[in-house]
Amino acid sequence: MPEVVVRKKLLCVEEVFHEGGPVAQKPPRRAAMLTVIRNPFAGCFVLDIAGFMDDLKPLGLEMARSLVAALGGDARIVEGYGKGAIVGSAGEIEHGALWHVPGGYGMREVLGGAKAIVASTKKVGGPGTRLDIPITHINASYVRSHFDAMEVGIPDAPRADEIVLALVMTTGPRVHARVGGLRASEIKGEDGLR
Amino acid sequence: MKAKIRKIATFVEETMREMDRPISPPTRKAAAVAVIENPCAGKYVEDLSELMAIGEELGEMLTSRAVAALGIPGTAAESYGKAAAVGENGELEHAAAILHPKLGTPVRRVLGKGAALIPSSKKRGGLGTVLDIPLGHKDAAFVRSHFDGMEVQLNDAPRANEIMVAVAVTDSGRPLARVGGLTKDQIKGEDGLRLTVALRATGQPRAAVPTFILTFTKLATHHFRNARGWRGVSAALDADGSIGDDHADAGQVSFLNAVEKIFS
Repeated sequence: MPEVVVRKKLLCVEEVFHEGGPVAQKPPRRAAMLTVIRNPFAGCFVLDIAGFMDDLKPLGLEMARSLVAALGGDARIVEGYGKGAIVGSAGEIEHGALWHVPGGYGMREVLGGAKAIVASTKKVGGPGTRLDIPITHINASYVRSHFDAMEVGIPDAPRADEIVLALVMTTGPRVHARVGGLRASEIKGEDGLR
Repeated sequence: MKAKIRKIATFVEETMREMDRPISPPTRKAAAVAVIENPCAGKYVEDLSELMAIGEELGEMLTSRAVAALGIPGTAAESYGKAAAVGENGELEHAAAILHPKLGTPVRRVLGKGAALIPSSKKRGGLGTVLDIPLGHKDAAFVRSHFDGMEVQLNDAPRANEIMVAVAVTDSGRPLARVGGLTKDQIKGEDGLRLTVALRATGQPRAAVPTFILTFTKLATHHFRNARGWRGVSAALDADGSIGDDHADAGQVSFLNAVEKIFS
């Protein structure tokens, strides 16, 4: 299977103090890591692509570790996550699907075995495409306060023969979360849902 | 802090390959962006000193965050730049009040130096406005390999009564820079420009020589006293290229002002 060739990376960390309400005692932070790689399958239809997921596993782990480091180094403070991919125009949406395993499982491993499915989105787009990465609680998808999204993108990626791979981690709920639902403190944390 | 900050975002961009050639070490840029409440939004405010004081706070904070994001000491930064986007209920002048009178001094303090004008841009826009932060070498504006830019964007900023303020730093120039010009190894980094002077004596006063460049070594004041004897020497300093209104070094500013007066 082809090697993973990285052109560039972008790390974005946001700290949210308030959104018109009282200043948060513990401002939640959100971090996104984007990596631009060459799409080895760009340009023509290749049937057998699944093996590339193994080649992407080290990148998934590395990106997840970079996110934990960017958030201070302690994986236990991560409460939400998400992932995404933007495939350049010479590729297919299916090439973005290669990221589910190495990105998703990589992140859950680095976080000590998080239970919930890693919410995701993907699209095909040109350089500068924006992607709204959905975020949910890492151990129970139904925790309402942690439903969130982070918009990411890189001005000069993806080129036609590239893919932008993205992982997102957050350290808390939406800053003024107050519409009820399952709370983080109430989760059973067995089935990854509740 | 005087500034009421809604959020702060930092971006770090690393380029490892370009046109399939490795960039070793990777070129790296970082920007720190603060989204603040605009205390002057929605009305005409004559005295913008509150925004100037906010600029001073943000200069320190954003530059520190940007170099921390790059993981380098401030003195290792090579280029810098600043920019602001005002929400729709503000004025461009609000961005100017933040960026120009007082923001530069703390930026230079964090970076240890910074003789050059800090390149800047400003605009007014809505949420998701794309903000391009210009970049230039921090000690000599004319270092060609370091003319660059960094784009930042926040989908929820600036709101109508907000201002987005950004400071960017780099640890390098453009990847594979190769169009000649002044290089960082050639600079003295004292006058903020670092270039060679071309002085032309003409028969009559000329309106303006579009580019005027200064060498800094041995020009002493007595040269200028005699300058009036040089008939018709005139040159106009490209003011945008030299003195910034937030220039830290008064001595350099007054020297350049003197040159400008004599030659105009």
